[in-house]
Amino acid sequence: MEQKVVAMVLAGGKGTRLESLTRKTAKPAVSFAAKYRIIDFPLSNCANSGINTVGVLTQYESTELDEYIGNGEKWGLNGVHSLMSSLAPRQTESGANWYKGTADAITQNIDFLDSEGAEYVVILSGDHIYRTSYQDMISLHIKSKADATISVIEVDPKEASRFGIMAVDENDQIVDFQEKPKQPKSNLASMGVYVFTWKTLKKYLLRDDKNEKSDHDFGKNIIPTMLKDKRILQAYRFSGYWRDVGTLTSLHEANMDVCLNRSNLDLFDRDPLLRIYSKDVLNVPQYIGKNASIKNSIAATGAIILGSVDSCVISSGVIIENHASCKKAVIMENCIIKKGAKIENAIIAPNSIIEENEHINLHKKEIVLVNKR
Amino acid sequence: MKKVIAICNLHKDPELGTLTNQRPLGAVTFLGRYGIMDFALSNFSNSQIDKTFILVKNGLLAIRSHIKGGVIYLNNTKLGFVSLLINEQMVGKDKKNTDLANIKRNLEIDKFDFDYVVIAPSHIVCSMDYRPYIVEHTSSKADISVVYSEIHSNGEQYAGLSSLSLGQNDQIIRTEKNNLKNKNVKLSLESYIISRKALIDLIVLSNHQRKSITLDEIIAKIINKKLMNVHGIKFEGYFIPITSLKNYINYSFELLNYHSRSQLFLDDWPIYSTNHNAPPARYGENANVRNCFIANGSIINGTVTNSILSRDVVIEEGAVVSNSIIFTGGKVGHRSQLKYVVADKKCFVGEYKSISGKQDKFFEINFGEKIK
Repeated sequence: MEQKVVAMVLAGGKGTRLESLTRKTAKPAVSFAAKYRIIDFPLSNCANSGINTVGVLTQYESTELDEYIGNGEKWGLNGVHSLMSSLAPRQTESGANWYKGTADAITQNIDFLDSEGAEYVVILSGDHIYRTSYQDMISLHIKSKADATISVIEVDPKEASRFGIMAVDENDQIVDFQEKPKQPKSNLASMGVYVFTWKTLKKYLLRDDKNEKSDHDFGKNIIPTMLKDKRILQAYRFSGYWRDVGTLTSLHEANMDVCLNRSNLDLFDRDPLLRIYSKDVLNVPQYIGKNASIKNSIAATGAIILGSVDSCVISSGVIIENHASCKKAVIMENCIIKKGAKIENAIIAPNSIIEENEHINLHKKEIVLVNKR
Repeated sequence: MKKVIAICNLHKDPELGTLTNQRPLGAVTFLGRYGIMDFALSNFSNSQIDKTFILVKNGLLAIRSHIKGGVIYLNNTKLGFVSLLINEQMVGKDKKNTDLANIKRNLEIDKFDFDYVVIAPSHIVCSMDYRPYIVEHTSSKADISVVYSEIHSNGEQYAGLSSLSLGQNDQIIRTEKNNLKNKNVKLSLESYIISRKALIDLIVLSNHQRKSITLDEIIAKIINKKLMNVHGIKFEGYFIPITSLKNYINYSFELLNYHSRSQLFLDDWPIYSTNHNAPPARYGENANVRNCFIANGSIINGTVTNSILSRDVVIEEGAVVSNSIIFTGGKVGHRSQLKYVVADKKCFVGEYKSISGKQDKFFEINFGEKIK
């Protein structure tokens, strides 16, 4: 890549809707699909796109996330021309500030982007599940001489009012933006994935910083202001699997998409350019017992399955004892499901122990979270 | 603190037929996830020995590709290293290509600052902490220490190892090939702790011997002729001698048993292995899996029992695999049946095939072999 592209991954959100899963863990560090953390997806996408400079903006419960990010080695971002930097809010001459919003998180790191010589900045969310290369989007941004390019995905018109909706002209240039509209003007939803020309974005960030009424948010402030100024905002149409896993239901559903193989998020397709990298665990391979049964499921290294498992995600180090039964459950790392326990439609938080013969959420459709560490 | 270096000796890797045609035993897959030498290298690393040499007899590429620079085995990547030593001029000249010749040619003892060297083969698989042994070696004032295990059920699986006789203060007074006659026997695990001076003396001594002499042979000579003080250190743990294909297969299946497995894999003793970034294993609608190790990346939609599948193995719907070991990237087609089979990497078995070995003679499928 000739132009210097820097990716900034927003990973500071509290993720309140994931309830106690994020009590001690930032949302991007929540586990997904048996062996991954959510943030593995955007970071692997960066690596696969040839973006070698990545800043991760952390804030809420950043210790575990920082430790996980490390030097970027898990995603190969520790090479000679690579830089992986965890950017938590910090004390400066002007005092100590938390990140007040998504845009403010970038504003407080203008120095980082300048010192890295950024020409284009890719802004990503740390909590989205999708596989892509950002190359096409960056190329479109450059070709269309846009100030900002926003990745959009077609959503069901009935669902459109849940999203930030973009109206576009015949060249896919954005002419209107509505945040969670009652009457959406299109079905193109913003994915919260942006490419900006850094020089331009910097001006807008500095301007926004002075506006005391601003929420300092990309969707609410920066994009609408750029639109008002008649800047060129290009839509990039993303096709493929993309999920915001911000709620227990959506997290459960996205996990089911993988284990039931019902989506085009095909982690098994072995496309070397779309591979998702993660931490390796030092466990023996998973063991399936003499009286076990397992189907429609995925399981990771180190799991021991002695009971019955149907439509489940079994993370590493999980033990499912004899006569325990799990259905449509997402069981996170190192849980123990004891003899005779029965679980349905649940997410079991890491290190939880489900007691003998305990029944969880049987014959109910709503997803529950169990956290018993 | 005493300075210790370690050597993983692959010159002694036994040949297991098909499986070792493509690579030395050290790099052969074990339990679907490890290379056999991962155990020896992890033992060094967990014992805080960070300066490691691997004596490579042949198959350098396979070893290099398995250890990937060796960083995964190191505590500190600046201070530590995993270095491959190969006696290039001797490759192919089987008799002269010995571990001793390799050490003499490549290990610069004079330039290297160490007090003790720990030498272990790859094919004796165990979780072994060398730290207390180094302490014992020091306090015994021995020149060489040999780690042994006391066995009460000596049998065919231990053929090829050496038995030791111990005298006063655990001094080793005699060694010979394990003749399988005695049920109770002390077997050498071929892990040696050698003091620096003893190593130099040992090399000098070997200069007066025939060129094909090996490290084991010279140590046996030293013991039987009482040329140095050789001390025995008892290992209380579980070990697996992978000296034959039969042992490889039998022990692999034995480890499906939780009791055996928990003796080899200890809680505070991780075994390091290269990360291959495979997705989790997937079990389809028709999967029926019992008593198996399954590695990440496998996709199973058939019946698999009493078997071990490595990474990225595909078992299609209706296929039945039992009592078999399938290496990375293998594929078993629709309604095919495999029983008592050991299949090297990337094997392909088409649809409606039936392949069956015997319990005492497994059917071997070669690397990349296609059975259409």
